[in-house]
Amino acid sequence: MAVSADLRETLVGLVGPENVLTGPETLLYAVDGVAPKAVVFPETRDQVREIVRAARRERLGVLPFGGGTKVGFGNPPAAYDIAVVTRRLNRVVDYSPADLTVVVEAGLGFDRLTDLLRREGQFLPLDPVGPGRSTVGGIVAAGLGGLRRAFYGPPRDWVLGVAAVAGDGELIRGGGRTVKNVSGYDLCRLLAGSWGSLGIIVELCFKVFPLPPEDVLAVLGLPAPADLFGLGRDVWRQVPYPAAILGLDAESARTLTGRGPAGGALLVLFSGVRPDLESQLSQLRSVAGGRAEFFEVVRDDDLPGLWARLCDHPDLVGRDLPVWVRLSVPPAEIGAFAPNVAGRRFLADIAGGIINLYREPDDPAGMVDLRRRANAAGGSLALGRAPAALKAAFPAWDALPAPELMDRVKRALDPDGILSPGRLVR
Amino acid sequence: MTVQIHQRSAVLEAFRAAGIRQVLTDPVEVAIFAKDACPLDQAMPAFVVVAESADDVVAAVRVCNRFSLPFTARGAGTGISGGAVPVEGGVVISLAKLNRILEVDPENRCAWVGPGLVNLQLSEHVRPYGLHYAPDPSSYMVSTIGGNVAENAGGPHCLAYGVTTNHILGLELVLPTGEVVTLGGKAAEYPGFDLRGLVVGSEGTLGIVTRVLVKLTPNPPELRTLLISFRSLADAAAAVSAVIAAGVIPVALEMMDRPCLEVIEEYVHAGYPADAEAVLIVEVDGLPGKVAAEAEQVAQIARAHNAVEVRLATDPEQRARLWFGRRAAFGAIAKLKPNYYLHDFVVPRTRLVEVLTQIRTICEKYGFVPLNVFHAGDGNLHPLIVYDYAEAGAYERALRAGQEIIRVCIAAGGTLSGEHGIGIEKRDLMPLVFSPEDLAAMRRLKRAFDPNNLANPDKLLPLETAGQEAAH
Repeated sequence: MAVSADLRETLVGLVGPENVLTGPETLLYAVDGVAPKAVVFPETRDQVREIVRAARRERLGVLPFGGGTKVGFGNPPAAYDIAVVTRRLNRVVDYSPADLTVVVEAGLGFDRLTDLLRREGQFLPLDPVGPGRSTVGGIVAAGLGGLRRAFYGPPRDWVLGVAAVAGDGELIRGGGRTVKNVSGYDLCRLLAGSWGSLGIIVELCFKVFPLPPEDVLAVLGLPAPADLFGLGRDVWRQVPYPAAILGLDAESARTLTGRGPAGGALLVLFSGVRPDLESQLSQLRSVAGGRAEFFEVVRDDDLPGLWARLCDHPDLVGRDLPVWVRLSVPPAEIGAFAPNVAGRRFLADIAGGIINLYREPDDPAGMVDLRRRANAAGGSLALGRAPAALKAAFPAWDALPAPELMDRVKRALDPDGILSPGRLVR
Repeated sequence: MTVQIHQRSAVLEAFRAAGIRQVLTDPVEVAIFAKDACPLDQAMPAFVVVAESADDVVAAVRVCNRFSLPFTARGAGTGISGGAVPVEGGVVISLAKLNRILEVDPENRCAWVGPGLVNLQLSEHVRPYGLHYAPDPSSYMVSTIGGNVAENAGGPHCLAYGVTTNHILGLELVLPTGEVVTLGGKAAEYPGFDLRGLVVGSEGTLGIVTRVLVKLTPNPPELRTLLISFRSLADAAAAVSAVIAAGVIPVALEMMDRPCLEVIEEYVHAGYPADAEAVLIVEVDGLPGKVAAEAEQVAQIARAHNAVEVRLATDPEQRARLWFGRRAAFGAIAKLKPNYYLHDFVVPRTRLVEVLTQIRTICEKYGFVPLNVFHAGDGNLHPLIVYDYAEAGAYERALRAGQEIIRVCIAAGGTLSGEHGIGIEKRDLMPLVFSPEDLAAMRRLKRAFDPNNLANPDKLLPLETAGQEAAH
């Protein structure tokens, strides 16, 4: 795509030539097959502000871009002129372990933050997809719950403060640096999960937690697929404080563990002190009874690598499959969706009612039916990635609740609609 | 904004025609709706609509729009920042009768409830399922879920479990223009902006919540409470930091200082050591192994920080006794002097001692002894200034001391309110923590919900001065 010399010149003037791409490398930042005219790597929040102001003057479409791990979500952009990549905005501003808070810039990689926190015996239990590539800003902007969401809550519950450049080019801040705060409207929660449609997040203050003394993961192989969600729900009901209850299809279970139970695998994570873990494991054994064909316990040094691969489910479970369907239903309803995943690759958070289903773009009628059923059950269906042809026929999101209100909220922070136009709202 | 006499009967007629059965207009009856528990402000509403259904709320809001009348939703009126104080001549919409538990869903660990439901009644109702509603503001015996949502209420147990917003899964909201929207629900993820999260803590300025979907938390299998006394405030605060640094997140970590303990002992006889300079109440819950290990860790850390006494409660009766004094603190203080001014600030936990010392100095300068009973674990301070309104100048001195304390807290990296809200009390202090751009964005959000500026106007945001918004 030809780029106007003016745009390049403007951006170079704002951030320097080393921080602007306009050549074929822009293809690396393509969204739904569309490459931006320019890719810019701001190093300061003031630069982000200037970029957005310049874009607003020219009515150019701007997409914030972190690690690109969730770029397949959303409808194709209505306009995509500039990718604002946050990765050079990656400083640790303030870490106060005794306050359980950390303030970081949005482009900081989640793995770097994890390393920093681990040195103080702390962590941020978000389990993002692609933990090695995702940025904290991207994780919050997407707002997707991680594998331990049912136990620890979604990203929004961990954000204490936010600074973002809104679509009008102003820096806005919400929340603060304290673990409790009711001062003004909760912009943290408004921006969490807004998919870059209201502002470009530049800084975040997170609440962090002490690492649990020990984690253990029980892997249960099931002889028949029909029982996976049922057993998972029984575990949820009868075993106290599981940190995660996951269901994995047979093929992915084989890839992950080297064993291929015909009915897939149930993975149950416990975190705590040794005597409690042993008692939880023994309760789990008795709930599983004869329903599991094998029962393995992964612990110590074997666990972190395995867990990271699970978090990478779009690559592990979804390998070679172009469509990622993210289904979220009231947790107790998840069993009703077992037939929809039969014979397909999936990772389910059974405690949280979330199914990541990976498939070919075949059977669009089946997708329409699945969405209808998810909505009827009180849940939602989103596309995490899909070929353009499928997205053209099948919207990436369900119909929005309160669409006119959403639209007015969008205009309140992005009056000219330049941020991520068309991705979530118009 | 006031209602003309000739309009009064037209408004009343419109409420009745819309099917609303109970509208109060008698000045004696409406007078109790003129204020909340905030000592600062009051204003007489022209009408009080006692809603008996969500439909009543919708009807009332529509009538208010037709006559351009500002309206203020009200639960129990226990708020202390003036959030439920109406506009003079406006309308109060009381939600106290929308107090039903509409659905308990133990399999999804949630419940739909009316906004008028009293907080404690919810936990009592779901106890047979082994569940409870975690946020427990000190007012939980009287305050309503709707009011808790409006103020994003906290409470002693929010340290580990999080504040109200972490426990609200969905809302039915009557928009200020009268449309009804449902936000959130029982599933984890829904498309679109998290307007549920924006509405929680918005102090009734973005609409009126008519149904609330609350998250329910399993009751912990084991619970231990420790009462620890110290000879110095600094030791107690250092112990708090050391507990957190050791990787223990108690479910509650409360502190009371000596002036507060003396009052509690004198009036409530809770059995607290009255010679201590500071007392901590620490609670740990969970599985037996974790609870035993953490209780032992806390006790050891306390002793290492010169604790004079560590009392441990394991059964419910002992626990209740340890909590009794803390829960009764405000009642006891009320016996000391007729009036008190309760503050609510948050500072980073590591700055506790420094800020407490400064608060004491400021109060002494104005002739008061501050009483401190607060959530030490999350740095949420509640300094109390007791005074007698009848005493000349006392009220003004209390206010001035309060203003100075606020500035000290902000300077220490703190914020204006941890759990009580901004309301009227602190709205003009918002520029201390937010820039003109931040406030302008919040104003535009308010307008997106409430284009006619009728929903609890003049709360939360500083009053606009002419010409401010010109940039947009």
